[in-house]
Amino acid sequence: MKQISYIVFVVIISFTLSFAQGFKIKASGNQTFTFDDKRNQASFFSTTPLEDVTGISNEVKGSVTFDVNDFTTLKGKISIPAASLKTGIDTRDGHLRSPNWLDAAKYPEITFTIKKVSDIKVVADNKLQAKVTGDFTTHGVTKEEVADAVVTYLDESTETQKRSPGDLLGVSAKFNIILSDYDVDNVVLGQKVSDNIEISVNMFGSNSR
Amino acid sequence: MNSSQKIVLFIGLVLIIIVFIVWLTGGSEIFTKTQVYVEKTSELDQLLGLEPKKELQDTFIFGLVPPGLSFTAELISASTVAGLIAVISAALFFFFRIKKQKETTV
Repeated sequence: MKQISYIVFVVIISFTLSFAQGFKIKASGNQTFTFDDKRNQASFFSTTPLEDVTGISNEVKGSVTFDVNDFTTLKGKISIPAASLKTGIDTRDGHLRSPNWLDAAKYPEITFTIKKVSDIKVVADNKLQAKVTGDFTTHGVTKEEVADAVVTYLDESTETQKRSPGDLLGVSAKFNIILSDYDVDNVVLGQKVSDNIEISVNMFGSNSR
Repeated sequence: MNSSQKIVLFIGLVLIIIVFIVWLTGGSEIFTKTQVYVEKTSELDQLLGLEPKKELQDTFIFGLVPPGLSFTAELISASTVAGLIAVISAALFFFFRIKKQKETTV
């Protein structure tokens, strides 16, 4: 009876481990990474009948926690101040912050709160590709969105220490939103901006902060 | 139309054409820009799987129309410069017409 229990236990553990997808790196257990470097960027890309518009924020902040051996445990929140988005034209930036658009005074933060991770593909021992589902909030409206993310884990080395102490986590993620879903009036400088906006995040965080 | 008016009209048209040639060869941007995004990357960024970082760099791009009236540089565009040339040419055109009429009356 003891032997049967042992075999069942081993089978269950093996079965669980075979489905747990994570990094194969030196670190283990739960790790929390903080994103607060000025090099981190969140951006949007849109098209108008006259020209394409790119807006960038260098004030990405947030943190994520996950078990390095099981990336499905990922939880966290990323945010940017709505007023920090810059398009390269001051007048257009003013329109972006105005009540018709993002209404930065009333809704100062744009956030993405991670809810679950699916479709994990192991690209390399330290690199995973996954679909990250989360609640995206802008202009006071929250909707569930799915981001395609590539996450890279770098163990601390002399090379990474030049950037920041601790292990580093690189995140490159993209997803599309429909502006009208967020009650945003899509006219900037008299041009109708496409209702479909691509949002991307490029950031790295350290687990030493 | 007297000879002075013809010269004014010719010079005005040539200058307007030059303005639009400058705009066409300068990238044909719709809006005048004083800053553009340039991409920068590093070896570590590539190791982290990050896309090149975009940074705003001060560069003047002569556009077709001004994007706003925030500051003077934004006003410099093909349409405003061409419009200014047209107004000056029209003023000179009428100035020479009046001058010619006065000469005829005398």
